[in-house]
Amino acid sequence: MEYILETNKLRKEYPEFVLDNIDWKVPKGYVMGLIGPNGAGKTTTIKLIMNLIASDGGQVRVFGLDNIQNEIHIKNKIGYVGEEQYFYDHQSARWTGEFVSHFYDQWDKERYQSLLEQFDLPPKKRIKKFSKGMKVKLSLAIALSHDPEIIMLDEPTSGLDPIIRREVIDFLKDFTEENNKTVVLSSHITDDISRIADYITYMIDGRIVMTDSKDALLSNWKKIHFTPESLDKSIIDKLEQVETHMFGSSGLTRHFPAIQHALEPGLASGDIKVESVGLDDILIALVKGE
Amino acid sequence: MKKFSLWYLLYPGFLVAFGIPMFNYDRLTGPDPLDLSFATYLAPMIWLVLGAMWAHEQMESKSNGYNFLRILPIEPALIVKAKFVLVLIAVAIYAGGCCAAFALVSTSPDYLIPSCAYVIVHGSICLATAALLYVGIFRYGFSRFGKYILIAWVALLISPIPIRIFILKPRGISDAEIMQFFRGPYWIMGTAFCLAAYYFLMKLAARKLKEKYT
Repeated sequence: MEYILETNKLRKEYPEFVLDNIDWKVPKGYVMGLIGPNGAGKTTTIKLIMNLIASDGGQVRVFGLDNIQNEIHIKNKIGYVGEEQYFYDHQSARWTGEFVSHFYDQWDKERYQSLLEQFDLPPKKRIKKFSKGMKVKLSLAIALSHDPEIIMLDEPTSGLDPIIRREVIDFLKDFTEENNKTVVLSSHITDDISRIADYITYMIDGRIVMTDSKDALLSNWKKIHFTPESLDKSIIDKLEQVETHMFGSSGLTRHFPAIQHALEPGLASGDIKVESVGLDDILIALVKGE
Repeated sequence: MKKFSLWYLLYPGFLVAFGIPMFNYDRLTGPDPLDLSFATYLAPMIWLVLGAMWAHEQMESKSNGYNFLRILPIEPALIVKAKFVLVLIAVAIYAGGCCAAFALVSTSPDYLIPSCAYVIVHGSICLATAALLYVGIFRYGFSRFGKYILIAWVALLISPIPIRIFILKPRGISDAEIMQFFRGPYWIMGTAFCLAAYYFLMKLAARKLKEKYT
């Protein structure tokens, strides 16, 4: 597999937080979701990749190039939407497009105009009169109008209402499918990531705790509902978050294919039930397991 | 650029407002239609460049302009260079405008050269001051350092008045004597020094902005 972005022992220290030796690889042409609770280090990681903050160790390679030595070249090929949207907000979207077009090697004016239309963004209106959702869309229009190879989105839907959030995520889904772009999407809203990601990375307390394809994650992680006598103790001991309630017990496994065979008698008799879990269930299990 | 363009539009107004009546007055009274005191009145106006700079940086700060620029593929040195060039253009236009106006009126190099030199020296000091203030902004941020631009601006703009009242007048130093200094080679050296300082401070400012960015 070809990797378009790699970090090697990336480190950043703050007085109350340490991003600790991040080794991370993003495969080319896929959507990588970066999930973690607030303060996990998602934004710090993305800012380090974008060279918006200085690292305290380690290396970032984008397109095989060092991100500090080749900052301008790399930024030319990355469409970035940050957590906060910064613009000259006394200017219009049209002016902003014209302004930023000077800095990119490839700026597709027609695509920018068409994205403004698609997002219902008035080109002549001052940006300070834009809502938060409109500013996110404007950021996205800028990020996509210079034909980036990677689209880096740091909590883009944070603070948006569900309708705009869905609109943005659906647009991104269609766009990435049509254009075969690599996308890094960080969010604590697992539903957003679940909708478009091919790969998922979980980050907790400044560390990457798991990276896998979404399909593998969702097929490996299952919730098992069982009666105590229906399941071998050795399997119960391997379950996480085991809870006992009046109808029986339940627990999470992260190795479902490995225990699937042992569950078959219980499944046939109805004493065991297997439930699919969501990315947020996995996140909660990982956070509690830390 | 807009804030500076306002300055570009305003400076001819200053020239007209302060200059033309004096030219007319001196045509009747002085040995040369260009009186040396014109320069002493017109030159301090160059400090208004710092006002334009303050407005410009306030706008950058208010709209988080540097954060916006930071995500674009642009070297911090280029951002700094653009700002320094804007200030340089503003000063050059004003100083050039003054000198052109002097040249139109004057009939003698004895009056023209020191008058132009006086304005050019003011412009050079203004450039070096602006450069120092930019270094301060990139080092400490506009929110902490911006007030010093205003203080420097107001202080420099009104400085000719206390200098005249408390230093020159008690010592009996006339405008003509001040201008004598601007007939010698020292003003060229001073200007060269200020321009060199401007260049090196631009490099320093670029380094400070890069440090601030990361």
